[in-house]
Amino acid sequence: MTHSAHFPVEKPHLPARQVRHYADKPLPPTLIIGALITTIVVVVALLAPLLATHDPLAQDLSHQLSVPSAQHWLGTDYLGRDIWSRLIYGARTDLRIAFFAALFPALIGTLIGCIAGFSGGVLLWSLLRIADCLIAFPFYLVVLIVVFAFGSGETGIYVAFAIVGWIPYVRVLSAATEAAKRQEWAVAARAAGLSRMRVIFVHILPNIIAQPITMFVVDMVYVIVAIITLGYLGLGIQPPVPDWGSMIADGQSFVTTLWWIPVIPGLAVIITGIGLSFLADGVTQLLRPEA
Amino acid sequence: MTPLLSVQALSVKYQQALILQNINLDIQAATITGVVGSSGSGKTTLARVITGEVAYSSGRLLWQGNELNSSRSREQRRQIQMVYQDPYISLNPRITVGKMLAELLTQVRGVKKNELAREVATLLGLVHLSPDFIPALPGQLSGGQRQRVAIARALAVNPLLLVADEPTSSLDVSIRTSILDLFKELRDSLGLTVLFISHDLLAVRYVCNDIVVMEQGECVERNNAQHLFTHPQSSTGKGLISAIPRLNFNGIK
Amino acid sequence: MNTPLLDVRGLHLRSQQNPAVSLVADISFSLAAGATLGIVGESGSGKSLTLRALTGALPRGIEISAGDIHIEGSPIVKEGRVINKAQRRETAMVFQNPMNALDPLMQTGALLAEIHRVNSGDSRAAAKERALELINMVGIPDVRRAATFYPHQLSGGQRQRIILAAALAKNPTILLCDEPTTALDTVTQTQIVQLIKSLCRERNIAVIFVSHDLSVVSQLCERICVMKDGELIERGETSSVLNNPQRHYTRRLIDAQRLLEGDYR
Repeated sequence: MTHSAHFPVEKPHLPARQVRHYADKPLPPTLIIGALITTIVVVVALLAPLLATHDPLAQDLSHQLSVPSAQHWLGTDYLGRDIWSRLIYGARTDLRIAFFAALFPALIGTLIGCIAGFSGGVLLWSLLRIADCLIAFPFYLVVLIVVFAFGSGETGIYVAFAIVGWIPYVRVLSAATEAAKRQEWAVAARAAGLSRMRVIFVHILPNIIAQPITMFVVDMVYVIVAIITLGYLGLGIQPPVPDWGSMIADGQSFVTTLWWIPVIPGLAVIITGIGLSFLADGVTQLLRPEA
Repeated sequence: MTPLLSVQALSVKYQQALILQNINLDIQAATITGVVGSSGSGKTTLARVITGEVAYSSGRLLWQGNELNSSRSREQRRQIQMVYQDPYISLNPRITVGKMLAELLTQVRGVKKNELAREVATLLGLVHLSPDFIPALPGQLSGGQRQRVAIARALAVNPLLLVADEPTSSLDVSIRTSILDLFKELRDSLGLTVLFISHDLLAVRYVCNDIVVMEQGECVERNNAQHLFTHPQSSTGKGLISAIPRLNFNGIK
Repeated sequence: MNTPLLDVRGLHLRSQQNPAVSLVADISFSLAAGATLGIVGESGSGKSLTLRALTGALPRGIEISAGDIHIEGSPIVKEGRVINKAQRRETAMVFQNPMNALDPLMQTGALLAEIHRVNSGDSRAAAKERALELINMVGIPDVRRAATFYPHQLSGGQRQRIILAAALAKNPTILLCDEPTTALDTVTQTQIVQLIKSLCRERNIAVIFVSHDLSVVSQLCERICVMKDGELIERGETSSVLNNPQRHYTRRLIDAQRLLEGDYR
């Protein structure tokens, strides 16, 4: 005895959509501060051509090492180049490199991690063991080796970071994918006949993307610091390209006299680092599911 | 008539323990068969063996006369679909109802873009949901509505057998009968075959043609639904049926 | 005049994120010592939340916005604010039994002993003895062996009994049961309900039994409340509500249950 003849087709009384579970949460202060700082740095970098007072590469040997003045807001360096202009063009260089150097391993690691985590078995096991071996190599050791192979500069940083940087992503994503694939809706999607690739990248990935995004932002900080360190060792961005690392390295000898020459780019690094770290922390807090 | 699904002397062993022992079961097309038993009776494992999630250790599984082994063809996997108990976790929370059904229709059934809207509406109509549900996210739906969507999802790929594992146990009694009626209707109008696993004996009695009683991995009784309830033969069957809580109109002394 | 053991007046619950939406609105009921009260309703009716408000276990983001709760005459919640948490010790909750209702890393004996010790200050040895008593009380055979088991080694029915024992270990005067039988087969269900009935009767413990299963509630509870969409829409003695429902919704619930039960004997 069915009632289908009298059974009306159901119409929804849909309550307000809660598309984002975190839309109503108060924004974490770290997120606000981090976003603010990062935005300022990025905007300054983007607008460098407009904000610069001089050509960052133009040398003026008659005005070497001058103190900050109306003409040169932060003074000049040992080749007479305007420090303010070099600073903001340096932001362009360093942020660009940090972004891409962090991006490649993030993409590679996420891709491999998801596939391995979903497949499980021998593939996952071997990958994790490879990761275990590679992680034994300190990052800077790898960088030095790569630099000797490729020469110093941008390429070396990209390659070195790609070699080492993908590992944490593989670990995190494979664990997250493995867990997600057991969720009933993922099992159902597979059972319904959707292809593995589709289920991994269209269904599962959006649900686990929060962690890799945070890791990516933190990696950018790591790369910036690496650029500085390499610059200090003379293995970083080669002149005459403006970059904070070489500015600090070049300005070392003046730290007791014209202290602003190395200190100001140093501060720029610190502020950018703080901005990105706070941003990463804020995003993590925001996306953390309610206990 | 060749049964749609034939389980023959099936056993499942896990770490020395026999989860299922020597199960024999024939399921005819266009029927609803119930599987009941206490917790630990193996009824869920049986469902998972049939859907292919769990491998069996010995015996045979015949689907439309052909043997089903551990690697099933895509076609075979499509023909057996599952509906789960908890409608709150069986739907991807980030995808709308319409998108989810559309994806299955295009990816699995190869429905063309221009026919998509119509097919989605038809699917929803099968489970008595109006097309207004297309833009809804699972979070906006009630339990009963979600379960209908889950059934629509299972139907989207044109299965022959629906394995339903406690499909109404999370639902409230006032909407339980409508979902049970839906199963009956799908059986009658589409010729759908359903394997209904549940500990809710009343639901099973309401909707099933035949009922199988399981106890500790074995099949202890099988009968037509009405007969089973009036004349249970096995002690498990008798125990389960006599323990069904009934509305007590007389108050507590 | 007899002060009721538990008195709830005008309880309102709402979500902190959406304060305009009422999750539970204006609930009032009272409970005498040793009495049994059932709360039935569908998912989303607010019945579980009401129970949790009594024991202080509201999920994060949900708060009491108005109402008074008195236990044994002393106020616990006044005008929506919690003022006395200590008195809540009189209440204990029996949860539904999915695998995560018990700490998977604790043996049952240890768990029960711990709960007893925290609530009574007894020595370890005395708590251990009490744990064994409790396991026996809830009808699990081979008590000493069972005390060494971890939750995953128990059957579903046994886990539910342990959850009950854990609640009784607090020596409560009010037992709050939140859908304890929903995941169980009929035989185990009946056993658990009988167990609750007899143990609470013996010890004069009042019971509030929340379920969406009207039949189970009608087997256990003298009085019943029906909740829908956060409101208490009908209440009374179970037999009068079942035989003579006043609200259309209640009637629908009863009819649906009768339809399923059919007329087999």
